[in-house]
Amino acid sequence: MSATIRAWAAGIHLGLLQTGYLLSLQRAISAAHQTYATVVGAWLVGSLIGLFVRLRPRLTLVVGLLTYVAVQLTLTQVDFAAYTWPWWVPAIVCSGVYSGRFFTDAIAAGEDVGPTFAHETYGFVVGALVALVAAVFFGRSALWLCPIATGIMVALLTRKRPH
Amino acid sequence: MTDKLSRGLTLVCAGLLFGLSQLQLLRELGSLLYGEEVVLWLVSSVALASAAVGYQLGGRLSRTALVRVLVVCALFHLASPHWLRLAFAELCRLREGTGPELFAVAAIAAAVSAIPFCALLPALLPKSGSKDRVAQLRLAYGCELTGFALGTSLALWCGDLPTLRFAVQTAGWTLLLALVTTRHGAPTTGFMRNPHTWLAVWLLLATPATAFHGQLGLWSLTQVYVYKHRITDARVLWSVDSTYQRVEVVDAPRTGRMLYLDGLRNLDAGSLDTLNHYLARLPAKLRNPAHTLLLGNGTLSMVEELAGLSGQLTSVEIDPAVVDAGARFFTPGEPLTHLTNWHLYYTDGKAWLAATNQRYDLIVVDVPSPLTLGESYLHTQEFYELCASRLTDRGLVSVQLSGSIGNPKRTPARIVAGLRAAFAEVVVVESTTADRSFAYASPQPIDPDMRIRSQQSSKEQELVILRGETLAARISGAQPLRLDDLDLVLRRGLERLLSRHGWGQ
Repeated sequence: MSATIRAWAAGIHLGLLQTGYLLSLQRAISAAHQTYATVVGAWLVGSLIGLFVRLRPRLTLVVGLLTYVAVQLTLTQVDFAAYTWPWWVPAIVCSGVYSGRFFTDAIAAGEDVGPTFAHETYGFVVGALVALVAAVFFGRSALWLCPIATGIMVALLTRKRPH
Repeated sequence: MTDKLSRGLTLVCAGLLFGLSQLQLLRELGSLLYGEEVVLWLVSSVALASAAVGYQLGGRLSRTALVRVLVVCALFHLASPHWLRLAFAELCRLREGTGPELFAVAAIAAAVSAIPFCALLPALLPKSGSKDRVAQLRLAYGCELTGFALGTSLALWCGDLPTLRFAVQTAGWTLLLALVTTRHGAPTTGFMRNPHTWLAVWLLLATPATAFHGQLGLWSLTQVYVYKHRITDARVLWSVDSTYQRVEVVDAPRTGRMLYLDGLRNLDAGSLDTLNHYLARLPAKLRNPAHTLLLGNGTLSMVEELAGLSGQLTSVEIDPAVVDAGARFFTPGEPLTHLTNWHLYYTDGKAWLAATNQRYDLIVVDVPSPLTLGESYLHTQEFYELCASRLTDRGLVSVQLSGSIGNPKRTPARIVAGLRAAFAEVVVVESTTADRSFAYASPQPIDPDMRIRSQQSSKEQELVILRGETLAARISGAQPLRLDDLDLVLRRGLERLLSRHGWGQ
C-alpha cells in the first residue's frame, strides 16, 4: 500500500511541476511550439540523468523543487516577457532528475516495475489536471504553492535510506 | 544479437511508436471532438491513463497474450486514422447528431495508441528477486525515453506529410513485431509461430495501406464533415497537422470554402470580406496609419488591402501551416511577395509585442475566440495594456468579439470589459451582416459615430454603435479576462463539450 501511495504522490508532484513549467513559460515567454519542445526535451534529459545518478532521492526532489519555485517566482513578476536566452532549461533538467531517480529507488527496493510505473503515471495525470485547474481558477501563485505542498508530502513518504 | 541489445532496440522502437502515436492521437481526437482546451486536456489525460493501463498489464500478461495484444493494435494501426473517423461519422449518421458514445470510441483509440508500447517495459524486465534489476531498468527505460523523444520529434517534423509519417510508423511496427516474436518469445500456436508467414501477411496488408493512405485520409475526413459537421456537400481539400493544430480546408458549394482549425470553423470565404472590412479596412480608413501591426490573420486575407492603407505593415502569425493554407486556398491572385512595405514574422504575438520598441498607429488583433489558453492570453486585460503601451498617441486597437454583446459572463462582454480597463475610450460596432461585433479602443477619443457610419460596409442595413454610458450599461457586471482569472476558457469549453454530446444545454 505504501509503495502505491509513494508512486501516486511522486506522479502528482511531477505532473504539477512539468505542467507548471509549460503553463507559465507559454504565458510569460512564448506559446510557440519551441517552448513545448524545450520543456519536454529538457524534462526527458533530466529523467535520463536521474536514472543513472546515485544521489539521494530526497536531494534530487528538493533541488528540483527549489529550481522550479525559483523559475515560477521569476516568471510571476512579469505578464509577458520579451524572448531571452532559455535560462530556465537547466531548472527543468534539475526538476526532471527526480523522475528518473524515483524509479531506480523504487525498483531497487524490490517494487514491481509495472505497478510502480502505472501508479506514477496515474498520479502524473492527476497532477497535470490539478495544475491546469489551479492555474486557471486561482492564478499563477497556485503554480508554485501546490508543488511545495506535494513536494513536502513526497519528501515525507520517501524512504530515509535510499536503495 | 544479444538479449540486451534486442531488448534495448525493442524499447527504442516502442518509445518511438508511442511518441508518434500520442501526437497523432491528440491531433485526431482534438479535431474530431473540436479542439477547445478542455478537449485537448481530456485527450492527453486519457492517453496517459491508457499508458498507465499498459504498464499495469505488461507485468501480468503472458508472452503469448502480449503478442496477441500487439498484433491486434498493429492491425488497428494499419486502418488508422480512417477507422476512427469512419466510426465517428457512422455513429453521428445513426444518431443524426453527436452523442456520448463517441467518447467510448475515443477511449478505444487512446487504448490502442498507448497500451501495446507501455506494456513492453514491464514485460521485458525481470520480476522482483533479480540482482541487476536496477541496471536493467536504467537501460530499458533509458531506451524507451530516447525512443519517445525521437518519435515526438518525428511526429512534429512530418505533420504535413501524413503518408510519410504512416510509412515510418508501419516500418516501426514491422520491426517491433519482428523483434518481439523472434527474440522475446513468439506464441507456440497459430500462424504467429512461423515468422515468415506472418511477415508475408503483414507486408501484404501494410503495402496497400501505405500506398492509399493519403487518398483514404481525405475520403474518411470528408465523411466526418458530411455526417458529424452535417455539411452534406462537403469535400476536404487539405488536411495537415502543424505543430500547433490540425489545419483543414473544406469546400462545400452551398457554404463556400471554409478553414477549420482543430475541427472548429475559423472562417468561411463568404464572410471573409465583411470580417476584413470591420476589423481592418474601417479602422485603417479612420486612422491612415503610418505603422500597422496585424496579429493573427494567418490566411493573410487582410494583407494586400491593409498594406495599401498603411505606410508599413507588419504581420505576426504563430502557425506557418495556416499561412500556407491561406496562400493556397483563400488569398487569390498574385502572391503577396511584391508588397515592399509588408513583413511577415512567425512568432507568438504577445512575445513580439513585449520585445518590440516600435510604436504603431493601428494594431489589428485577428485571433480566434478564447477557447484555448494560448488564445485566451491574447484577450486579457494585461495583453490590451501591452497593446496600449505600443500605440502612438493617436493609435487604435481593433478587435473582433466573436459574437454580440449579451450575457456579461460570456466572451464578448468580458473582452470589452478588458479593453475598457486598458484604454480611455472603447467603441463597439454591432454588424448584422458579419453576425458579430467589433471593438475599437484608443487612448484618445475615437471618431464620432457619423464618421464611423460613413465607412460602414455597403451590405450593412444599419450599424449599431455603442460607446460611453450606453456601452457600460450593455456590459454591466462583466469582468475583464485576467491572466490570473481564465476560468472562462475551461467553463465555456466544458459547456460546449457537454452540450454537443447530449449532457446539458
